[in-house]
Amino acid sequence: MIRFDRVSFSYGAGSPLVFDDVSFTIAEAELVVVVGPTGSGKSTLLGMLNGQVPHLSGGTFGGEVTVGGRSVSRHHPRDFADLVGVVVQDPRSSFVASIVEDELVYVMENLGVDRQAMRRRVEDVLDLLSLHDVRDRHVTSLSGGQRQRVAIAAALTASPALLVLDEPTSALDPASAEEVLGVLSRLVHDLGITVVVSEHRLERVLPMADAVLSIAGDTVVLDAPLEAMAHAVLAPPVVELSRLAGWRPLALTVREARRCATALRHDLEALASRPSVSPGLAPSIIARDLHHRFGDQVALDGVSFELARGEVTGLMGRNGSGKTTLLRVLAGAVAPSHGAVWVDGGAPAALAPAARIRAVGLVPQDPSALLYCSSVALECSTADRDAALPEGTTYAWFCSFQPGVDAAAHPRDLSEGQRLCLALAVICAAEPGWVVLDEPTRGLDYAAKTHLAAALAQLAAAGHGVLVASHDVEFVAGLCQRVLVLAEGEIVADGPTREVVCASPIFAPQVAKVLAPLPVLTVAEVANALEERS
Amino acid sequence: MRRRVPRGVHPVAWWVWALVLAMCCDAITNPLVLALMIAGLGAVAVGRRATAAPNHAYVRSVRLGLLLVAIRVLYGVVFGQRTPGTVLLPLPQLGLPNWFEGISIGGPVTLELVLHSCYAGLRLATILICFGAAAELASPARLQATMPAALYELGVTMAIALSFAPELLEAARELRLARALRGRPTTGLRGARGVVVPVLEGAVARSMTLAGSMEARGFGLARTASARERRWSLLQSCAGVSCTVIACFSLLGGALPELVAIVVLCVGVGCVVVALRGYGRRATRTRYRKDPVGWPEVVVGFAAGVTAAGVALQAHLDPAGIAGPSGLELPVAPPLLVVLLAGFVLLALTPPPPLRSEGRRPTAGRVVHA
Repeated sequence: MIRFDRVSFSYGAGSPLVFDDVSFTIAEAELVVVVGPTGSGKSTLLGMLNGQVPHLSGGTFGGEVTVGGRSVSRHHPRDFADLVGVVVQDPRSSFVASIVEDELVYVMENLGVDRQAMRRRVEDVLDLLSLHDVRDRHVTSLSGGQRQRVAIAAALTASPALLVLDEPTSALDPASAEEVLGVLSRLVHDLGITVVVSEHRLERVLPMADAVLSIAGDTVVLDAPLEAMAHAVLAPPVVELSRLAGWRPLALTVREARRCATALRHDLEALASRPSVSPGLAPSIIARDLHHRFGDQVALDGVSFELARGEVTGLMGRNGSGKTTLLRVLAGAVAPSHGAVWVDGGAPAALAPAARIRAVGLVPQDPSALLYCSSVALECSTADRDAALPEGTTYAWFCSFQPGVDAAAHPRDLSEGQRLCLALAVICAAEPGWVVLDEPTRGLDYAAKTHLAAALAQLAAAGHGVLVASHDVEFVAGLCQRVLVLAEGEIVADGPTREVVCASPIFAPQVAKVLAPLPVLTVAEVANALEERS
Repeated sequence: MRRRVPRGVHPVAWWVWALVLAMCCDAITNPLVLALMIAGLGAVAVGRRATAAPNHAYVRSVRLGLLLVAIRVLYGVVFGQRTPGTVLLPLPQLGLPNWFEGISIGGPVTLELVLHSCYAGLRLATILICFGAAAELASPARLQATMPAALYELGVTMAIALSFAPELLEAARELRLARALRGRPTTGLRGARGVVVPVLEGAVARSMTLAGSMEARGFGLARTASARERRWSLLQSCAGVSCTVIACFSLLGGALPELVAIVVLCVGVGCVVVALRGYGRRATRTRYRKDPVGWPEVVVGFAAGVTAAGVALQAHLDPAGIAGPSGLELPVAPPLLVVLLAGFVLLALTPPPPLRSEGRRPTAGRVVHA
């Protein structure tokens, strides 16, 4: 299906090689996962599968890529429209039509499919992806999971032999992500479509992958999942657990791991009786009966809670459950329609802008929205001036989060994780009592996530309050001491992380699922417990 | 009467109808007639709009119309020709040099002046609402889908450009919020500089993604024409457009004898049609929806004709009926009102729009989780 033959590529003369002498072959009807650290060239590799790289991106291309017998260098992306379906990272930016049904037919109209066949295929695809009840909807009114399924459907109507997806679940809550991945697995198994998908959160896709394409440096290696995971630097928790417990062959899914884990559960029984310690901290944020609505859409519906400094709190819930609104209310950027919130005794919305950023600093979902200078050094010195701090304070924060970054670099040229750390440094420089992050793990690989978790834990230890809204259950399980779960604008669960996530099939991390009923959340905890025993 | 099968009326029919009504409104300042017009447009828009994805264009255009009336009244108060009568506000008049002949700033504001400005503003508002109703009945996207194959790509470009403006506003709002989080100014020149550049940057990035996605889905796939065919089509369209432009100028300005100008116009239009058909034959695109043309479209056309004839007749027989009152007297109710009403009632003959999705009207804006 796909053949790479001695492929090398670089974005223009002088820039380093993205790939050097890469060769592999992918057979029909396989589900291949592309893994690699942020900025390693996953999107570039996916772009090569329909000629967007190099035809639209530019760059120096060597060797030969053939997809379905067609050479990428001799054909334009549009010539692949009948063969390759592409779903981009943020489908909102790829929608051409405003109504779902029109979006689905777009590719067929371009290919000149006759009307009867179009009608039939639209109905087929709507049924396949269970989209028939949103066929007349405006694409902007869809939920995240529906939007992603519409984008997949729009690529499928041309009956492609290959489907390419770039991080299809990175913006989705766990349930919507399951829904999208379920669709992918069905496409491979029932229709025999070849699927190539890139993904950071391997724990989700690994169970259904036939092969793993690992990018490291400028080389690419195609392996079966077991071999790839045996020596992978980026591995999901269940694989880390198998390595720690020494299971051979490695367990790739929760089900396989659970079968191997009987002995391990027995060893760890002591953990079950360990009482959960509550530090009993004094509340610093008090929210009472918060309500907020946009038009006729209810975002917050009577939310009350108390949060203490010195611990990291996680905020979870599906897309559109009011997490972002709640964070904005806490940061004083949005005044609630009803109810009140006090941060260290003051209402954040009533504070002057300068005082507000000392009370609560919010890192928004897109951290680049906070950055607008042309270099890291300039960004840091602007932040120093804004907060009337001695020169160099922000840069020192940045270095503590992310050492070894060129200060002259443009913020846009940083990797996703580095940019997030810069935004975090800009916010932290004003020494806010609370640091609040909205969906910080989007697009971060395991290493960057570990790095971020360490930085946040360090902030909490220094007496700051930290609140993180996230869909990433593994990240929350590893970092947060307490979790709030929002649904339809109401708090449906509030308590220690261990109790809240272990009780939920959707929010439970892999380790908890493997070792249930033991309340263990991370591989690190297992390692500590084993060490204590020996 | 046989039960009418629900179906949408051809978008071009609605837009032509709205255009005719808008042209009629241009001659009318009688507030009674204009009010009936707005009410009738609203009734048709609500009764015959596509039930899938309502876009609330009518309500938006009414709001915008009210703003337009307010602006027109303000303009009248500041720059309007002073009319004697009941003084509401004795504003001082600004002395202007002689060469500012015909323009006055300030002066006493009379009730007559305000009313007159109101009528003029209402006329502009009604013209706007005509298009609002048309957009509610058949969205510009649907209209674009009916374009001839040769203009298809132009149509797509326009549709995307139209959807782009609201997204830019949304991006700017998000960004201002983020700036506020950093304690930065969000207003004034400094604030604007910090917002405009990243918003435009984001817009360019988004356009590149969209272009990539369109290309990946076969945009621009067309049977390739030979160089000779392409040259010939280009020549035809250039000649056609030049002839049409020249003929239009002469018809308006009188550079050529009228008969010659009309002949040139016909030749020009003919060339353009032939060129478009040539392009269309080469395009391999197919259409998913084909809006049928039948008696409902004839009914809509007839209704437009009735309205236009009524206005023309009223203007010919009794021009006072369509003009707003000049003084404080109440506007008269001309016989035209009956004709207008008939024009709107005729549209009840058109079939109702199809009700899809179990008859449930999707809620716009509210994100429903799957």
